[in-house]
Amino acid sequence: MSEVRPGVESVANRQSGNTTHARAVDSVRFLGVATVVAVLAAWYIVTVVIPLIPSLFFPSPPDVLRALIELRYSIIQHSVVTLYRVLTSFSVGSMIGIMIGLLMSRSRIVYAILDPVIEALRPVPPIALIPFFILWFGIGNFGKVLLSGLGCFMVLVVNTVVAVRNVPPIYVRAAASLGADPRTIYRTVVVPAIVPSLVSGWRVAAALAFALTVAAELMGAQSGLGFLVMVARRSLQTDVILLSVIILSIEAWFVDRAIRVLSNRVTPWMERLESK
Amino acid sequence: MPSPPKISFQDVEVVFPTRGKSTVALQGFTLDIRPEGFTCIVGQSGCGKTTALNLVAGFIKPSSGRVLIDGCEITGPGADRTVVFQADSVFPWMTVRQNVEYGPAVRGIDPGARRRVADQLIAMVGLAGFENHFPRELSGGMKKRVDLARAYANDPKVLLMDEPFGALDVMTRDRMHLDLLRLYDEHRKCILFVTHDIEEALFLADRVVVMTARPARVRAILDAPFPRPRDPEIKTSPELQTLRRDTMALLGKSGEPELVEEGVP
Repeated sequence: MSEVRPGVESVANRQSGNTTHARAVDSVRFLGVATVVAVLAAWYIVTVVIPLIPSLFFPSPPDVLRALIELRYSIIQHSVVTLYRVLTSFSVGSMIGIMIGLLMSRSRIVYAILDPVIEALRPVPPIALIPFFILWFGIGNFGKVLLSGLGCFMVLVVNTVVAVRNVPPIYVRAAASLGADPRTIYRTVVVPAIVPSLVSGWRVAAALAFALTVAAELMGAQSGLGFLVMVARRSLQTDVILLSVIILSIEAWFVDRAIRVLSNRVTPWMERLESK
Repeated sequence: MPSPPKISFQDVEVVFPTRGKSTVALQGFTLDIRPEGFTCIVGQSGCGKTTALNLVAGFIKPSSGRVLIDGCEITGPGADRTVVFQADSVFPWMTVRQNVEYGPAVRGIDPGARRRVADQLIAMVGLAGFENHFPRELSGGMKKRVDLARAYANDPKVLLMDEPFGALDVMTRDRMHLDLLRLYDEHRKCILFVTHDIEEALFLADRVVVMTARPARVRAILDAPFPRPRDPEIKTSPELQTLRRDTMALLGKSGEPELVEEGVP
């Protein structure tokens, strides 16, 4: 079978490419760690070694550490509450968003009914709705999850409709000429084909979920990192504020990382320039 | 004793609206395709060959006239008319085996049977060992083989090929020709193959339909009188080259050459 050889070679090349590639990724990863260390060092230097900035305006690492130790139990509680709200609203909101988006691109009637509503609501910053949500749903979990879920929903609806529109028609035609009916084409061609473009929507939605959840917590809550920031602000405890911000950024990083790992796992077929 | 035609174009006209004015892709197009045999349609780029194929595939409908398969009017795409496109249409999210099994799977063939068919066809196109690879791990020629195997696994009444090897390099294309002929000799399935490459048409087909420039009609139908299985030497034989010149002349006569983009709706 000499005719297979070019293909075999190309596969082999790809594999050998991967090992050099892995080395490149390692050194790039080292750079990333180095940046984080450098930022931390710079922070330490400007606040402790040569205190250029008063600790009230920008707390030093020891200040933040002290706040962490002082608040250790309640900070864990607040972090968990915020993360719970983010994850719930993100998963429910984006799930419903994808489902509605699929329905809209599947049926012209559903599209005609929902598109004006979504297009009218989409430009409204959900943050502007917080007073109403507090009025309607109080300051508990529900209103916050609903607000942040609404934001995620909007991102994913639009993302899904656009992604479906961008599915190459040749795949749909190929499936049709192999005997697939429209419903089967949807399940076996359209849905798998849009997953890669949904990933970017998921990442945007996750970041938005953090923003909206914290904003809602700032405006009225009894728990969560946003609530902690609000309380600390009243007594000028900037170390607690900075601590909350750091924890938020760590949580957001892990969520984003999880989305990336998960999406790589569900699309092993994707051609990737680099394995991020 | 001529058997009834497999596919029959009856006075077909196809008009595409393009930016205000309309383009007539086919007009008075009448052609019968025999049930057994390999038919190639050749014509200049943009003459409406692909339009003719898309009519049989059911992707478009004629503006007037009728297109029949086994005497029944074609109303939409169907598993009895599988298309192999020029562009890569192998599903990238499926492995080689999943791709080849796709047709049988959506038609509800049981997993054991479709796996047997798929494995046999994958081996026939020389991809044994690549069953669980994703298309991104394959070369262009290998993907085309997957496409061929996928079309054959569906066991359609007629295979429609729209310049399937047009995007491949010459050497890969020559190998693909032999692979396709091997599949053809094994299954003797009715093939309708569209190309602008006269040599390819004469080497592969039993009958070569030469089309005029747009709006396209049938200018002539030639026989490619070469024995099967076909020897690669035929490509360079004087007979084929003579036929090629004749065909060229037929194509050249078809009015002013219009090099327009292929009329895809």
